[in-house]
Amino acid sequence: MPALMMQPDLSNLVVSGPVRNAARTAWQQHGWPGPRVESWRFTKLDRLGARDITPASSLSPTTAGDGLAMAQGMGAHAIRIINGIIDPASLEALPTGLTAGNLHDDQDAQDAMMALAPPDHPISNLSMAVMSGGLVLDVAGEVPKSLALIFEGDDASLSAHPVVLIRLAPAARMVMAEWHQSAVGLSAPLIGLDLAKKASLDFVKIQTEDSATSHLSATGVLLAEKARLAGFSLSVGGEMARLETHVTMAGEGADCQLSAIYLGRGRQHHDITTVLNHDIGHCTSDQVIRGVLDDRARGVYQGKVRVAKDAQKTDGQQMSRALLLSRKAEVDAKPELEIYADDVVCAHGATVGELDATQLFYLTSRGIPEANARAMLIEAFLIDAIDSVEIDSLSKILLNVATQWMAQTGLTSHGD
Amino acid sequence: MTALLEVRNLYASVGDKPILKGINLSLNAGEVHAIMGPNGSGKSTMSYVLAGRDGYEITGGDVLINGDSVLELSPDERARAGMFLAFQYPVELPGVGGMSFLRAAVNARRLEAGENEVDQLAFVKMVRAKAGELGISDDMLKRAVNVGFSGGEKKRYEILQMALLEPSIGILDETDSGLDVDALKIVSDGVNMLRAPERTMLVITHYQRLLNHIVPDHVHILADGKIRKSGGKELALEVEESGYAGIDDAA
Amino acid sequence: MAATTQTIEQVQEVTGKYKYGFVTDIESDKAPKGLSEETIRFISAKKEEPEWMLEWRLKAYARWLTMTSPDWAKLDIPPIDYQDSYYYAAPKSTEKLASLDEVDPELLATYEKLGIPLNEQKRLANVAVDAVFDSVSVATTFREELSKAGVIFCPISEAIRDHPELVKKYMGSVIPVGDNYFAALNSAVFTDGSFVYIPKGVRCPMELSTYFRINEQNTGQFERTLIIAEDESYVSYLEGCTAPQRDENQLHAAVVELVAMRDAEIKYSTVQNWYPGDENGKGGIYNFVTKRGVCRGARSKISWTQVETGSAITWKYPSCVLQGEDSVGEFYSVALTNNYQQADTGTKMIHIGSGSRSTIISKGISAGKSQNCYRGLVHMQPTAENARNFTQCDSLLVGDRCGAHTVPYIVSRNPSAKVEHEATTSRISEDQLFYCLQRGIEEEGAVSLIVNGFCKEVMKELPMEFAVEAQKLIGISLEGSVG
Repeated sequence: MPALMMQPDLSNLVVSGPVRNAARTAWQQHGWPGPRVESWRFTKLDRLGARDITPASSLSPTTAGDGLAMAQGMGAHAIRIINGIIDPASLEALPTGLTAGNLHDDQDAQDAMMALAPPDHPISNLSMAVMSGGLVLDVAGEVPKSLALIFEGDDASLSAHPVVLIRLAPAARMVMAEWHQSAVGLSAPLIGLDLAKKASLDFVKIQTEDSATSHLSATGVLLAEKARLAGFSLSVGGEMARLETHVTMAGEGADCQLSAIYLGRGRQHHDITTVLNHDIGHCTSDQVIRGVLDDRARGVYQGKVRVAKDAQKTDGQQMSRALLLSRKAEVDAKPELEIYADDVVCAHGATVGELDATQLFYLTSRGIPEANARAMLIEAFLIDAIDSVEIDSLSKILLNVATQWMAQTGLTSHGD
Repeated sequence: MTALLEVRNLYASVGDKPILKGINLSLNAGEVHAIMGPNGSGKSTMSYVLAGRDGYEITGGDVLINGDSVLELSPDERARAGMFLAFQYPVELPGVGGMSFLRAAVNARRLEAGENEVDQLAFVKMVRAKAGELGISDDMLKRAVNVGFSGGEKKRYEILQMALLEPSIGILDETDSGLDVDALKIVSDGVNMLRAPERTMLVITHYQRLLNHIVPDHVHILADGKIRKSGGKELALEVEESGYAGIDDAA
Repeated sequence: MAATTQTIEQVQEVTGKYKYGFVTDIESDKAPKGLSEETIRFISAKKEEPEWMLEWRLKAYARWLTMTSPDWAKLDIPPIDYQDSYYYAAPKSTEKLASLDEVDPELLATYEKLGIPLNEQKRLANVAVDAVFDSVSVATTFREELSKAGVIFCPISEAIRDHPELVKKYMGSVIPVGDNYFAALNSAVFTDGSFVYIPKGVRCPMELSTYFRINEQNTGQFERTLIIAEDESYVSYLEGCTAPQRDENQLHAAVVELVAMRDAEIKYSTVQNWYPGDENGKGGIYNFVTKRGVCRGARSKISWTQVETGSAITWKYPSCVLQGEDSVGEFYSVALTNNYQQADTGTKMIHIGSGSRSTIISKGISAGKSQNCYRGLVHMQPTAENARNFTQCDSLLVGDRCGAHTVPYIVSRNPSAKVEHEATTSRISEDQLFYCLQRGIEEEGAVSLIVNGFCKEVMKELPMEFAVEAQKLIGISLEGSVG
């Protein structure tokens, strides 16, 4: 089938090693998904077709942004990724239990990364091929300090393609924050999380890119027996953003909580896409999604829970709720259950609407001005989801960013 | 005389765990037997094993109705052979209308006995009459089986089914659990009405209070998967006074 | 009704599982094999159609040639050779009949065997039937009684000749010829189907029904139904379908268009029991159907109820375009698949009018090695002020070799509109099964009882005459899935 949109050409890119060459070949063949690809029906990438893929060639210093402050606030070790390039200075003095390696030189790790990466995803191919920065982090034991990955950048002519593989050894435990705050044209991080038996990872992902940035991230997760992942994404920045996460539960007793909030205004486009594969029985997954959209913003949630044949005793739950604050805003939701085993408990729910009129009336009847009452209800709507985050330092970050967004959007729950 | 229900040296396990460790019981027509025992003694297991529920392995012994072993029979075959189990926790069947369910159960027996299916109008009349005696409203009969019923309503509905199905063997599994005094009275009266010379009943309970209402001919104390002691109705009072611990010592 | 015992009897009485698998031995008049402009001209000539109809067909055909078969459904559809099929087959004796007495006795016997007696003495009381046999309507009952009320109920081929102004105005107005691949195909080669017109203020005095029967080998059936309900009118319409048991797959690509004007209500019920193929997945009907209704006027209402147990593959999304203010759309569905059947079915509710409301209740049951997918769209357009949707999708798995899938699409562009979607997937609980068994009900009967309970919310929407039939059908269709 002929390409229906312009596709950036990577034939002149210098690529080393078989894995990255294969990724380039796949990219050259498929490029950006066309308009008829089902998994991209709500998020069109037309604007990216004309964009050249231009990774930064060398590390350039940038001024520290909110990300570093956030890392300091939670007492985390910060690894800076600037315009897609890993800052080697930030790999020094890593907390106990963390070992950094260079993904560029590690074919096995590249292989492992591709096995984790969301299949048939443009960023899996593109960022693996381009790999402006490549990092492998091995995690053992209980890491005493949190880790912050800060994706920065200031050059709108660049596209950033960092690839980060994080491997948690059996029973390793870590708390992590991903902070995306770059002003590159295209921010396209590819991230792999490989959790061995009984490993546990708590993380948040904050997408607060510049208002002109396109953010397309692809994250692949593998959970071994009794591994536990508790992840929470918050998408507020960027012009267009898609946060796509694929999780495969490959060992019995694995548990995956994967929640997200998207907050949009102006002409922003936020897309949260998840695919949860229950490949084996006796695993649990739970997703809580909240969206608030103002102005002409558009929010998309696509969530698929797939239960393989014989994956008995699976418990898969998914609940997405969205609020529209403006007449021009739009929400698209596609929660999906694909189930091939019979002894399962799976359910999903989705609602879209405005604030509950009865609740609003109740608050205003107590003398609270309507604008404040609305903000109060929106805040409660978001906190309800954030409350599930067990690690205080992480829920604090989420709350801060959400509150900031509300203030910027003119939503304040208390009188002036 | 052949016992209506005979349990012969019955052993059963769940997984690797032995629950029943050699039960012997002989229930003759017209008799009411009570089985009392502390929590975890194997009471509920026994009722399920007798009714033929999946998930229990019979590792020894036999269960006979009128002298014929029923171990090879499926639960529905045992039911049609005359066994009725009043559940401790009756199951909700959403969307399944009460009348259709009752008729299906009654007709299953009639067909096997070579009788005609029950006439619909006559059936509705009969159900209403029996339901009235048990304080079951028409509204309850119209609802789906057990859906939205209170604990007491569910138990009364079990007794109504027993009255309609006219089993030769009635097994009542903790029928008193979750009932207040008034409900207990209604249910017990229903059971007493069903006492008949051609029928036997096995009343399984933790507490003696039910046996004030349904007075048994024989009482057996079950503990750790075995009948520890058997006696007359006075045995129940003994338990009430000294608890199960004392009984166990006496075994 | 004691569904269980009846079902058991029914199962016992049916040998060869599919009750309607017989073939009527009747000579038929067929178009040359294959699809071409000539085929279309042949069909149009056979139907003595006016020129405009032929042109419409040819335009649709030209459009179809540029289109490709949809591939987004969760279906594994083997390639279809459109040249290896007949597009017109009619029993030879069918000329225009003055009365039902002239219908070929062989045909009357066929319908009687299907449980749809057509002759005056035996026909269903208060249900008017249009019987479509392969490509033609062979009989329509109660026509005079209906015409007294001003209701037109006739084969669509007849409507094209006798009511061209209505057909021209409405045909293709809800489902344009190029709407999708199968609708375009149907528009080019449709042969017969029913036409219903309910004038203003008329409450149709009886249920209207069409009974579709595919008999001929290698023949596709492409019927087209058009129902127009004028202001303040009401009609309840039902369709049933069966086909002989054959080893090869046959294509059924129908189009149904409904138009409801101000305060009008159309209730459309389907009991779909096309031959599903055998237990090894051989044979069966490909049921690729486009059904859509438009609630054009204020407070109009369209309600789709379907019980889908047949067909090897089902691709079907009866939809409502809720244009009128406070208009109402409903979709009640039971889709049961067994053996190797595949179904991808659901609905689309397009909310345009302010205050429009829709309800979707879908019950999917998968057994054997089948795949059953609910796919539905709820779209709130910016004009859909205060619109409401509620969707409940429940899936039940019987056995561990089948699949149950739920794919809802929600698009909301109006903040005052409210969309609520809930879905669950489970199996029959062991507790429920044991409870029924303990009451003496056999396993197959118990499963049928529980499944019928699971479908209750949908079944109660069917007209009485069909509800009983549908209940039995659920039991029969589950046969072999237990134990």
